[in-house]
Amino acid sequence: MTPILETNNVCKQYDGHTALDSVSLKVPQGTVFGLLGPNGAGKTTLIRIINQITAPDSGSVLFDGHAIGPDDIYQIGYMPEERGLYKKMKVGEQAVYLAQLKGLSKADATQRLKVWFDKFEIGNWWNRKVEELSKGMQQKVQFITTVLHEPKLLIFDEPFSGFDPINANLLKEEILNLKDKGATVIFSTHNMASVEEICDHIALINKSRKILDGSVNDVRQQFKLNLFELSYIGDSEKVLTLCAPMVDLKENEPGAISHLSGGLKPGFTYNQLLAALLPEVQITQFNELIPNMNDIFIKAVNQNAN
Amino acid sequence: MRKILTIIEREYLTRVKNKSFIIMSILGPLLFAGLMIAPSLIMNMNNTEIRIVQVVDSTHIFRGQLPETDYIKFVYMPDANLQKYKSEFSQSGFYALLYISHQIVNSDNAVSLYSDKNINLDLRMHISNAIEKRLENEKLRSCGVDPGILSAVKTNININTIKMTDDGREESDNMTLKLVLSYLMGILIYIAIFLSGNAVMRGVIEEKTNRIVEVIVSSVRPAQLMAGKIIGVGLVTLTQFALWIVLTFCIYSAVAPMLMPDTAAIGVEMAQPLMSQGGSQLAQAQPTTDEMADELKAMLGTVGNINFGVIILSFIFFFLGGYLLYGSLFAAVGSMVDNEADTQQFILPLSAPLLLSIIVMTGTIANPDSPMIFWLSIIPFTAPVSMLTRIPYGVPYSEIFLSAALLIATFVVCTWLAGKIYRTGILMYGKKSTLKEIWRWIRR
Repeated sequence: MTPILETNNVCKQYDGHTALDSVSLKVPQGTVFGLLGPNGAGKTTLIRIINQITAPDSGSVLFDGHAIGPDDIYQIGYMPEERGLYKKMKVGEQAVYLAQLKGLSKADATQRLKVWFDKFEIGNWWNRKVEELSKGMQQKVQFITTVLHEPKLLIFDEPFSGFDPINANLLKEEILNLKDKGATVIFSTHNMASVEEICDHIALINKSRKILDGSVNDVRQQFKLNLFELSYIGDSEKVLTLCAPMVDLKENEPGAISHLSGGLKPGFTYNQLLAALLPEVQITQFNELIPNMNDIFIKAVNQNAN
Repeated sequence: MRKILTIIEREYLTRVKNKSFIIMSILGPLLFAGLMIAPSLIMNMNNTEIRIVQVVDSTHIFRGQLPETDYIKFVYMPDANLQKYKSEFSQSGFYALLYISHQIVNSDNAVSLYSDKNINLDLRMHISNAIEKRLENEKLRSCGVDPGILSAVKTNININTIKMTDDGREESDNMTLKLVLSYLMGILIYIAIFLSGNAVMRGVIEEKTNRIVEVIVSSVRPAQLMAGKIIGVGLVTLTQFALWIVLTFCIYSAVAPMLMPDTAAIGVEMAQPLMSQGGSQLAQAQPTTDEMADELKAMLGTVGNINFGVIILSFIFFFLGGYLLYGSLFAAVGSMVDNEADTQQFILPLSAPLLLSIIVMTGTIANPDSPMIFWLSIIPFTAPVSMLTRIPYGVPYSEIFLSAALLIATFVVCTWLAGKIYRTGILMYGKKSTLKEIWRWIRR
């Protein structure tokens, strides 16, 4: 399947400083794609280029297999980090206006909005001015206007900032919902826990370059240090002797159920280790320790800095 | 294109539905109509009171000779006992006591007017004119001039100014009407350009501070947003002006007949608030109804000679041209800043040409063909105001076309530049833009 979005060697310079340096990405269709990176790495610039708000100095952007053009904005929904609404305008009017700019007719937009407003339980706010709404409600309206025209590609820049945990959860469910309906989501955030929860793929941008990308599972495998945890019942001394050639031992807590943790030495496999142990002790638990996204983020960025 | 229409619709409707627009639409005409009606109303109020003046005439030549009007009456006392009448004055119920002494033939100060009220100007003028005229006649008669000759030499001069056009026709001229039109159009277009330019700028800043602009430019191109905003605000201004004109006319024609039964006065009243600047009007004696009617007739006679077609077309063209020129520059300023307070440094140089042309406007009236005003009406930044103040006096078509062409060219260049600044500026948050940076935005 063609990726919904592809960037090839995209470069962008601002007043002598490089915002993006030859960034190439492939965003597979129907996935949630996490665009990660420290502040000032170039994420927002890349997102603005995808939204055709700014043009790249060189490189190309392909949307659904063709060079991206003005008509493709109808297939993209964008919720920027710096977001807001006209404060003096009524909620309903404003939502209809934004939908019209995305190509919907007035009638169509109104009909769809009613459904969403009911779903988010803000139906009776239709005729209120935006300034009367709480921040969370404004964010809900913002979300609705982003997804209303049912775009193929959704781009959320820090979507959870400003949401309380309940609404953040609602939003997360809606994002996954949209994915299930076939939309692709690009998701830029600093919140690594949410990345693990909802992202299928990630790309990590640091200092205007892409330094890491792939599916979340692949990336985590790539960063694993072959650490494991083992629980067993049996003779602790014997286990340590058996492990010694294969394992860099970190910790061993003897007990009714003993716990051991350590790293597998290069050239050995878990199967070899377990085969050696099985005849001697009863194994109750075995766990390979895979690093979380937070660790990977910090490690990758630090490695890149050196 | 459909998107620009959607943007125009929003810009227009949100502003027209705004309370301040509605209040301005009602208050404006009330104020204008009030300004038109008030001066005559004040005069009429004085006039409707019948004022009886007690005349103590020690010369006896004025008895029964002072002309009366509907509101000014004279009662001649049988004797010249000034002290007696003065002491009885407060009980007598007269408005004033006029004393004419024997010295009148030799002295300028022989006439006194006593009253316990403030004597108003037109009564004093009326009496002074009447006595002067009567005394002149009396002196001439005493020199042996025949009363028949006296009435024959009575003269009234009214100067007709006639302008000779290039094709040899002669048009009677009316400087007053031209002056009024010149002032009116200059000020009107200045206000229109400045207010709507400001509205555009505030709209841009609002979008920036609300942080909605990034959402919108992901749907439309910045140029479309800027164009839609400028056109929408321009339409609002035109709507406001149309409402003002129509409502002022409605209020005036509904209220004026009630307050001012004297219909002949209307034409003069309309011109009065503009002519009587600095209160110079007050110094003149109030013209009689007949004179007013004559003046009005003369004015209406020359109205046909003023080319209203050219004036209206030029007004529309120069408003649109000037507004589009300044509107796009104001939009660029709005995009460069984060809040309205920061706009001052840019607004001043931007509005200087407009201010200059307003200051020079008074000079136009003294000499509509002076070189300075000629050049200001050609230079695009001052042309909208300066050219319009010249147009009522008649401007060769070649000059109008030159000015218009330059205005269009400048407007195209400025909109293009402003678009470049706007495009970058709207996405810049939190830092003040220096002129050097702005120059880079333009070159990019």
